[in-house]
Amino acid sequence: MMLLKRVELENFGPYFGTQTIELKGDSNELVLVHGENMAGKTSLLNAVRWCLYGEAKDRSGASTPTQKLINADAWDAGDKRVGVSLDLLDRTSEGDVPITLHRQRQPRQGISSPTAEKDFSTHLAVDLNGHILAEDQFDDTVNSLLPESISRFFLFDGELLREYEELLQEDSTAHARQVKRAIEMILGVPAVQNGKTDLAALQKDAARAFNREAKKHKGIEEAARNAETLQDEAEHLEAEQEKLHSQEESVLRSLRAVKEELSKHAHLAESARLLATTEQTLERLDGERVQKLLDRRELAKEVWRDVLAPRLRQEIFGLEREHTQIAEAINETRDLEIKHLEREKSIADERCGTCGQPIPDDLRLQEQNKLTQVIDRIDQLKSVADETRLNQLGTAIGRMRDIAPAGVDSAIKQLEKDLVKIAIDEHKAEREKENAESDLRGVDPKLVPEFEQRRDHLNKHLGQIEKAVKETEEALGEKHVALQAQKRAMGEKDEPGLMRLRIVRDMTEELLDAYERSVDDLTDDLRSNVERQASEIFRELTTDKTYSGLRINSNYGLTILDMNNSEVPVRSAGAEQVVALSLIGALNRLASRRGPVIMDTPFGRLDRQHRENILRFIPTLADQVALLVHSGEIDPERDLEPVKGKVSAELDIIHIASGRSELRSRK
Amino acid sequence: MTEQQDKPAERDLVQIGASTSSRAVLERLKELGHIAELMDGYRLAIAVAIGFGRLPRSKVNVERKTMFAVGNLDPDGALKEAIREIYPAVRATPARAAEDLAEQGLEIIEQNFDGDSFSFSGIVSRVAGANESAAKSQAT
Repeated sequence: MMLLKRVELENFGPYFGTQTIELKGDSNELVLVHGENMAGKTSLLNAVRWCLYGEAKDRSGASTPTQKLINADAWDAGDKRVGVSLDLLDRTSEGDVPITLHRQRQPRQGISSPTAEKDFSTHLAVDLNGHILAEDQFDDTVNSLLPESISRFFLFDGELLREYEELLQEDSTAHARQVKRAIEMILGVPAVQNGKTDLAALQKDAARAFNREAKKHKGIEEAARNAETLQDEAEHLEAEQEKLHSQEESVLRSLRAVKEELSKHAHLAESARLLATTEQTLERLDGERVQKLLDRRELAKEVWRDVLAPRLRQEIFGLEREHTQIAEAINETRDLEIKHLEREKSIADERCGTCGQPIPDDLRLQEQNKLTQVIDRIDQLKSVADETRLNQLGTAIGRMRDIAPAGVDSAIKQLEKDLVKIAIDEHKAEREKENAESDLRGVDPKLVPEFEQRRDHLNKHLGQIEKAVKETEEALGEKHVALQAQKRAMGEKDEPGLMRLRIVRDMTEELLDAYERSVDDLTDDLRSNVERQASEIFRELTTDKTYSGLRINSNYGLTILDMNNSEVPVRSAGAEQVVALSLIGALNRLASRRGPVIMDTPFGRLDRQHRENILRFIPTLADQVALLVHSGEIDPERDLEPVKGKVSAELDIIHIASGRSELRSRK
Repeated sequence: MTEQQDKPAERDLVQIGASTSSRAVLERLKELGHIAELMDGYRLAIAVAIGFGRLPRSKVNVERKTMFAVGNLDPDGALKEAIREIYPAVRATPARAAEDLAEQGLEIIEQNFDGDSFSFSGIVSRVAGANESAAKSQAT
């Protein structure tokens, strides 16, 4: 059993400089670490994981690059090291063995501004009970304490418990098979499976020896030959199957590595995508600009008419005013000339032109005066009432009106507005392009597409392997059926030399069969134990009393059962978390290896009642439990009643400034 | 309208051109893609000068190089007609007047460049504005 005594962080995530957490390093230890979002709870979990396995993960499960692990203030101050030390106790039947593990990454010599993983070097140190071990023994030491494959049951993020959902599918995925293998590993199944492999080899040798001898015996020689061929083929298929499984493992490893690389280069991928998009945008805008300029150039041929139009209107207005004045003067002259003639005539006749009565002298004098006025007015109008000018004006106005505006100004205006908008968009796109180019400076532009291509290729390859595994399994089944038929055909001929071999063959076969059944029984027992323990924990944790427990499938997937033991088909996110915690609790109870459990945000999706139930259960989950919680999950004033007297230490992660937090013990 | 008197002895031009500096403005307009042909800019320059109320000058001591046949520049005679009506004093020599108006118009166009940008709608609206002001002052 492994217990944590001390965690020392050096420039890890938000933790500037050296910061330490001291633990009792004993059983029944419950530690609560309070911290708000972004304060550094996940960084704490990651620090332990990183020290043990050299990898810190973000919420997406992707690996965090070293550069991002290093505290930003330390980085700015020129300290580009990151390190974590773990003081552990390996509690064995012979006593406690103190172990110190230390992992540190720092820039390689000669590199002052590291940007990629290759720019950093790793230093590992193991102190086992006062003996300093070689660096290459670091991984072996960790594997003997808490292998990475089972670490998911000890160091986990409450928000990432959904992976156990995949186990529910009978037609399991490669990832589900990995989780299943991890579960079997924690239960100690691989150890008994080694015995099965040895027995199977013995059984094959015995069958081969029998077939070799049987070929010499008349009547069964053909069946023996067939059996030999079938065994060869079956062994070939088994070897093929093994090869496929190993390929599958290898592809999954490569896929994980590629995904990690992609995650490390996620921002580069984003920049590359942005660069490609902005280049496309610029190309499109350039095309639009060229087209709009061409359209405007075409309209510009006639724009002079619209430029001229206001002046022509102005001129026409002036000419029309003059035209009106002349026309009015001509008309007035004509009227006055008629009046002039009438008055002249009546004065000469001395009689009124209308009634024919003689005009008195005073009136005749008046008429004479009026006539003089008319003559004066006619003389005045003569300078204006120029009919030639009137005609000239009419012609000029007509000609000016003929010069019609082209009416292209509004279309040009719109095109120019569009061109301004295009220029703004181009400027914006140029800026984005420059930023993306600056991000990608010095980076191989093919890097991310190559990783993406590799990921797609690996996924395709994985699919092909999974298909081949299925086909091989089916073919192997057929071979075994055929082998049994040949075995029956050979019968039980008791000839000397053959009988002993047949007995050995049958005995090893029965032994293998019995062993397999035992292993199956054992795994069934273990599975039943997991189901029983998980159901027990589940009933303790769930607030829904209509649930009677959990049912396990061959992949260790757990389904909720109702009062009638019928499966509940749909479950909420909260229920999923409770089921996953039940499985983890059961595995910890049954584990062949035990370690401290560190849970990040364990109550994220749970209501208050579930939180209380889980808090009450948690001290029994493992010998040492550390919960990393935020105030939204746990209100220390209100929610800690279920663990009253059981909390051995409480710490606060104090968020001091952006990217800087401090660990403080709560008094 | 001009008060200048026609000079009957003067013959009108059949080919018109521009000074070196004006030609440079036309070529800049074309090189920057604002106009398709130099002739488009030349017509615009005449209209701009008329629009801004410029008067054709009788004598300018600037050497002008021939660029276009008047028939090609003004195939429907609309420009010639406008000049004749707006400037009765040069009624007999509208092409000669057009050449000088183009010189003056190209000066205005050059001043209206914003870097390499040139706005036709800007010129159209400025001419409209100038004529609106003139109309207002005439009305008062």
